[in-house]
Amino acid sequence: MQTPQSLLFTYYIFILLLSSTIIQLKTVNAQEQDPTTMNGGSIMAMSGQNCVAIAVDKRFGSGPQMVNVSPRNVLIPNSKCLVAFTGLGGDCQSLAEELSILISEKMMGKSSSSGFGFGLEESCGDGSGGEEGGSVTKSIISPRSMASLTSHVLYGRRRSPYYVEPIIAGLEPVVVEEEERGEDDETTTTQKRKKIQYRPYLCAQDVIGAKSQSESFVCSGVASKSLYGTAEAMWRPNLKPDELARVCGRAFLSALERDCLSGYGAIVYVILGGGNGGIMEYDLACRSD
Amino acid sequence: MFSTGNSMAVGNDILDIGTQKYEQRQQQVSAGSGSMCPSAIQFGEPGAFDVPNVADPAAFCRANFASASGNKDANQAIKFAKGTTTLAFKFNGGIIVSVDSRSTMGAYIASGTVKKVIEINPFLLGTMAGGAADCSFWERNLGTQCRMYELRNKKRISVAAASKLLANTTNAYRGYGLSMGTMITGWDETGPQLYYVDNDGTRLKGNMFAVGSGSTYAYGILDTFYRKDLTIEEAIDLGKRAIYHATHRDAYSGGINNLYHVTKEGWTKIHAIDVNEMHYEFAEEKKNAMQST
Repeated sequence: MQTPQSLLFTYYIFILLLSSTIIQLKTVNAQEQDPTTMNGGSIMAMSGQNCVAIAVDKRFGSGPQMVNVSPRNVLIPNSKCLVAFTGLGGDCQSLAEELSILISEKMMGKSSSSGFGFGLEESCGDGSGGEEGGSVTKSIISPRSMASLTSHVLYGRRRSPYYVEPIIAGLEPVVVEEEERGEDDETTTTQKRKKIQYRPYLCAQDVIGAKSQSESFVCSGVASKSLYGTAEAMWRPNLKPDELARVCGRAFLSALERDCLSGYGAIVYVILGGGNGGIMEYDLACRSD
Repeated sequence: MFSTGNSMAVGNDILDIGTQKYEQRQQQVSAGSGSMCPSAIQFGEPGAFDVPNVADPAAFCRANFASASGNKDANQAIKFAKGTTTLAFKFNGGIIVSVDSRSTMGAYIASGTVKKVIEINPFLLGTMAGGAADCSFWERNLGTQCRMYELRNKKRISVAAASKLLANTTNAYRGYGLSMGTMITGWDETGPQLYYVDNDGTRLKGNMFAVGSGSTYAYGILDTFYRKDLTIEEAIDLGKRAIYHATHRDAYSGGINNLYHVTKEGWTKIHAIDVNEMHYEFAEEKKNAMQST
């Protein structure tokens, strides 16, 4: 018959041994459990002359296994701003939904001034058509405000973050003053006129919302190191929209072909500033292995 | 290559290499323990493969030099390349060996054109899965041992004996962090033979093996369509398809499919097709099949 003390002693030794084996087993499996790389995926944004491009890939996997091939989640609040997400798939979906709810909430409650966003107004055609020349001015959120909103939401979960690294890209309205010389008979008058110009805005964020802005390009995701390399090599300033789509697509695909956890195709969205604006979508094919 | 520190000339005793007499003579000559070194070759300091100067070299090797892909990335300082799909199967027309060609370090693709089939001699093939250096070194070493056997015994070595030599080597280095999952295949007097040899010292004889991170996907295709009486074209197609499906699903496999066919006359390389081309070919096939039904 064992005395109670020796029973307790053997019990403690058993627990000690058990815990040491459990600790050993947990040292491997680091990559499969890393939430930012578990589902794979990469995204990149580049700026051009009065236009911006975002490239997203299509792989959704679980560690080494590919589960589905479908374009990455992209939020398009308006035709001048685009938010792309990469990281843990579930968190990307949650963050996208939260942001779109926040935007529509604020926009619904918005009259001509609410202090939210830039207060920018965009004329868009009314459904009823053109004889009356009806145009409805709608307030839209600017990319800079979108970036701040995203950063705020991400930092709000500082203690248990969304494992998402988003990229916000768009055309940011900037007010410039222009001097106009008018000529009346003998007197020349100079008038200052305010005009709105669009400048490309690119911002990448980490999982807790640290903004990292750039004039040229930003990258995020599993292949981000390779992407920074190819983008650095191929980007040049003042690219026209079709050139930009080509350069962005080429840089993106070249980096993806050196990465196992991204690929299976890419979509390049180009936000156009000139003319009627709008967003062009290009579907690119790449290696499916 | 076989010279020791003392004599540079190749003497009449060259055919003694590998025998006990020679080993004893070497041990008398050299300092240090040569027991772990395969007797055929001694590189650098006689009898020594360096192990790290730590308290437990075996555990250190296992922790730091094991492959770093799939679920074994434990944030090592140097991530060794791994991740592959290799397969081989026996059928009435011989043996098909089909492999991919991707080498990864973590998530980075180090190379898309690795030769994972090692041509040991015109009648023996070895495949590479696991540590690339481990596989290529020890299989080349196996080639040397096979050649010595041939010279000494005036006949070709059997596949069973060749795989046994390799298994003995891996057994000797068991626990030292070698990473090898290789298949030795060939055609000898007893017919076509296929053996699987592992870094644990496992040696299995069988009719069909798939090795690597994408092996489960390859097994799915192989198990469904394999028959002993496949024609040669059907067998080549099966080997091709199995690798394609493995590369499509597995992140750590991809690149080019290298396919070999082993017959009585020896092995021949059948093709080296990019799996991306196969993707479009099979998509076309599916589309045609859908349209015709």
